[in-house]
Amino acid sequence: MATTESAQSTTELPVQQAEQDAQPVAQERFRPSAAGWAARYAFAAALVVFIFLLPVIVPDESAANLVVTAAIFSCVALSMNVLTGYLGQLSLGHQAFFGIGAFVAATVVTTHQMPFIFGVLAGGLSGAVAAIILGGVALRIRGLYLAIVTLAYGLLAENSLFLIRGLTGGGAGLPADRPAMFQTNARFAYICLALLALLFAFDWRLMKSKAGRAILAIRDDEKVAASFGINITGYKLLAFVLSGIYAGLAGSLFAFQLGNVVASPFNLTLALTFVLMAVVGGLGNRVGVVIGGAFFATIETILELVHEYLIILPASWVGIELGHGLDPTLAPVIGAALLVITLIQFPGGIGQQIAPIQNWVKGDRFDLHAQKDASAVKGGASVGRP
Amino acid sequence: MGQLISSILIGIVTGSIYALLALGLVLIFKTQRVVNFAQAEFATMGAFAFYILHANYGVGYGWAAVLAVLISALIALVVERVVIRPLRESRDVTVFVATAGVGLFIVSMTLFIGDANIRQVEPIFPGNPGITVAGLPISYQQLLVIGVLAAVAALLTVFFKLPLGRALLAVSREPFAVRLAGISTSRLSMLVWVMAGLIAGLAGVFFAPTTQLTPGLFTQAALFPALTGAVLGGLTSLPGAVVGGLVVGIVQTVASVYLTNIGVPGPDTAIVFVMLLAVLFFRPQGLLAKEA
Repeated sequence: MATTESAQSTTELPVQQAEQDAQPVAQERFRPSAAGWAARYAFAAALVVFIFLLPVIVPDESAANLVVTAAIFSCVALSMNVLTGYLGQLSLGHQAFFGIGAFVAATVVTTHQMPFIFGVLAGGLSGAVAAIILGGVALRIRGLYLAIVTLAYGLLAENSLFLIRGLTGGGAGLPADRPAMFQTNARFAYICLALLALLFAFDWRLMKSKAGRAILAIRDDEKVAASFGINITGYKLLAFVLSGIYAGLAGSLFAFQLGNVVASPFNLTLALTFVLMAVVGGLGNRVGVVIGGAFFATIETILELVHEYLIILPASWVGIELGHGLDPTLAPVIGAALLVITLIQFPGGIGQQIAPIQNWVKGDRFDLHAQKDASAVKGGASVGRP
Repeated sequence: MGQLISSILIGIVTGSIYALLALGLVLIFKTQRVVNFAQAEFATMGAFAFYILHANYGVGYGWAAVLAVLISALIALVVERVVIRPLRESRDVTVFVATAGVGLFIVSMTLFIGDANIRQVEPIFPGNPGITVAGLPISYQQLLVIGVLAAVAALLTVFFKLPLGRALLAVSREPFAVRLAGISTSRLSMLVWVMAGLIAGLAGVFFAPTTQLTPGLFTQAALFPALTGAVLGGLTSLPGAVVGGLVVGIVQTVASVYLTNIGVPGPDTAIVFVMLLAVLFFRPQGLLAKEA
């Protein structure tokens, strides 16, 4: 619909500029008309309203719980995106930040009897502390080796830290009660969506700032960035701290979602799921990773729902008894396959697929073959330094 | 003292598995600068193939073992062709993520097709006999794992004296020059992955009977220590991988015996983490610090 909009408003100005600059102007930039802008704003507003009505329009509490999971995982996806997408450093130990946030939040509200909000803030802060320790290592070790260290860091948290009885209650876990006002999942979902909106907006503004550009510059070439006077140490640590805060905040909400925090969810599989969310979502693309996070948070439940209606494999196959049709155990299979396909075939992930819509909302013509915006192109699925 | 000796012996057995996996990791890293997250899953697949062939289909022990090892090699070959080759021009960490995806795919596929039940793989010697060292029973099966490592190490040493082995070493130094000499690097890449798959398959078939077989067994139990072992050896040195794997195994076992009283759960993971960081910080070129 955008293609029919008049270009008259843009005809004169670029020509004048071209004369002034005496430089060739490649093409005059398309700007939508007032009606075009109205359509774009209406679309964006409808999308936001739809997301914020989700907790109300879903049929029951278990579906509302799904909205909570989706919002929390999307926050973690944003956190992964800061490290892996913007800074270009793969993290295989994100379950550590997430879990530390959860346990600290539970400790603050249960053991110290502090209000909910302090629990959440303490969770975010502890995530930052956990991340800055890893950031310190990252100043010395890079690339592939650092990826191995993050893997080790996550395993250490999973196998040692989260099992210390005095800190985490051992196997019994730590209870984390929601505040009285937000007992139902539908209401609690609003807290999670609010956090997601907050982080999303913050992340957006951050990447428009000097700090954001500095982090991207470090990703693209550390030496060149340093030669332009960018404080490598400072901005690297900043990226780690921000990623830790995002993950810690998400983790603290996860604690209240569970109600009782135990160590078992924070395992290597979760860390790999976080990687899936970020890479399949599209590294460097904020909207893409949020969609990726929501997708991988809900896929198991969706498979469970449709599993009664669809059987994709016969009950007995090559002599191995198949107890499954299309059931939740298929979720990681799909995820892993999507990851490999994304890396090989669609490096921009979901972000690449939704680029036409994104660009249209931003004020371009609707073009099915639109390129991703600049940040996504550079990010792609190229994890790590060149 | 007896406890120390026996824990070192157990450490050598576990260390042999780490060393076998580390050998595969190093072979692949040396020639292609790829860290293969799925390496441990090749071993699990070997163990599962062996279990299915032997226990479900009644294939004889020897044939089942041979077929299982070949199946792991085949899986490795498929991974090389389907995933690694299209990503040849990508950054190293991108390929690492892809191999992590392969590992996750294999684990979740085992869970999807089968179940999470614990299986007991039959040992090669009926009745699982063994010897007693310093009051601790060591089964022949466990000794066999050490034997497999020694055999693989010996075979690799011979292999790298042959023209094909020399070509592999050359690829790790200067792939472009190797292509100029008329040697196909993509064939060598396939060869390396098949070798890594074979070694992992051997590790799976011979180690599985000493423990219980579950989906993702080797990824959970051995991948991270094996990676640390490989890093300890410098990631490009084959003798380093053997030494590194054994060192990690011994340190881990001794630590889990002597550090259980300090109140930190999982001392075996913690000590490996400390070793990894220490090597990366103070001696990133590895303990042996030479390529070969």
